[in-house]
Amino acid sequence: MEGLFIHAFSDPDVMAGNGTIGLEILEDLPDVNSVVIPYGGGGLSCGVASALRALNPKIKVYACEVETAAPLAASLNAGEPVEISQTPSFVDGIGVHFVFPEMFSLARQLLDGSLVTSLDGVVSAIKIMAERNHVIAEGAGAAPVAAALAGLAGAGKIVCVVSGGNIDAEKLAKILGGDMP
Amino acid sequence: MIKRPSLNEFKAAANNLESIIVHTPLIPYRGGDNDAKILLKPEILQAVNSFKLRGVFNAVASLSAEEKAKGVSTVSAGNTAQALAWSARYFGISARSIMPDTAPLPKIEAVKAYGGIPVLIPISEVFRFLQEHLWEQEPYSFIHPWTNGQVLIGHGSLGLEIMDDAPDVDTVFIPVGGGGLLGGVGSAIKAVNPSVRIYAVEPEGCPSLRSAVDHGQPITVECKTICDGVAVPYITDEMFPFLNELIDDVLLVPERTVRAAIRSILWHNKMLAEPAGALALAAALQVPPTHRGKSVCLVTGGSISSELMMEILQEEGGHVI
Repeated sequence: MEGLFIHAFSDPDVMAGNGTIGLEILEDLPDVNSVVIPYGGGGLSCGVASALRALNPKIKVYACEVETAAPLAASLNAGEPVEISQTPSFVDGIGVHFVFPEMFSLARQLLDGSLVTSLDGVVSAIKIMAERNHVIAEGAGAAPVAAALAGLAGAGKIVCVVSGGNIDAEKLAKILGGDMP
Repeated sequence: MIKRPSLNEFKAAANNLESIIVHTPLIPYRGGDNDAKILLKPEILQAVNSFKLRGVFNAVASLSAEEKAKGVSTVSAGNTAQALAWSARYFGISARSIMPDTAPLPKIEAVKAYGGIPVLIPISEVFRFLQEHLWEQEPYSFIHPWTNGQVLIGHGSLGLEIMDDAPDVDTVFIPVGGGGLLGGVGSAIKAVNPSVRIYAVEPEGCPSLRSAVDHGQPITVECKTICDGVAVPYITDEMFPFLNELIDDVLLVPERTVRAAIRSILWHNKMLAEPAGALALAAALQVPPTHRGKSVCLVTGGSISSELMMEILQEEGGHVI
């Protein structure tokens, strides 16, 4: 195939670009205690974590996964990349059945762990953000908020990276109505 | 007539508000073509989900210790009441708000959540309270939602932010209810650059400023609109000349266009606006890009019930703009 392949997450320039989120967080909230970032391929969380680590190693940086697909949590537990069984859900921005080995070593170094949130928690986080913050998040984007609201990220000043908002009308309407899409 | 505040007054208020208010960004509207040059100012990101905190906090902060101790009160369709309750909690004083019994439930609940006391009465009584100055018989420090000078000046901080972030703006679209936002923001912008065009925006279903301009004096109109945040049937006698001098035009938006604009903001920018909050964008999209130039649309608030949101989302043949 012609053209240049840009790897969606393990390309260093992709990670560096994502890392600008970390710089913005520190600029706006220098005394942040922890940052929670959705984990799919790992490019977002490792990029943001690299920037944060370089500037303030004391900040806790967590990946976030959903219970239906949490290979990073399982791999960190096992100390090596493992495959898990994954249940498909409406949270389509993150969630595969394995961790890419080249990302695993990076993630293990950079992240303080992976917070695993429930699917119900994600649904209610989307609803709360729509109703209280007036921001529309997709499942992956709301997962860190769900994790933080469940207390998984501890106390203090917590920043959740709301990574995206591409959710379709039907699913959003269901969630606003209090149902699981 | 209300006097136009000075640039220094606006700057002093902006300074006082710095730790309370979010300096909201100007975000390009992601719908339509890329040359549209429409920037949204999402005031839904403020602590009470609307711009009202700017003026109301400024007014409460300006009260003397004795005035604060009396507790504060206002009249509100919902957003001002939330801002008052939030501000009163900040200063450890009580807040009471007269609200129409038709106010959306999330707005009433939010007032209570911030520790405020909503007093629900029929909407005709609400306007009678304002027109007959009934607050003068009450023991609280009253913050008039539109004509209070400190409210106007606090709202003006929004205009200064626009001029800082987009000094080359051509047109600013501002929704009108009682006119407090329009008066404050419009004055602040004109104080920095008098050549910026100020377009007031109203729903077709409640054209109180349009009618006043057409008649040369305020008249009371009938209000039938989904935009509860701006459903004020008249412009006060003291506000009218002040606003009339400030604006370049008044634009009216049909109800179905408001609904489409809510969907557009939701799908293109992923933000949830209440009907009044979508008015400015709806109006900007009615004006040819060559005429309006670089435009800023205030997304004033986001208090909309989930039920109404779902209804608008799932509307038969519902289109975006």
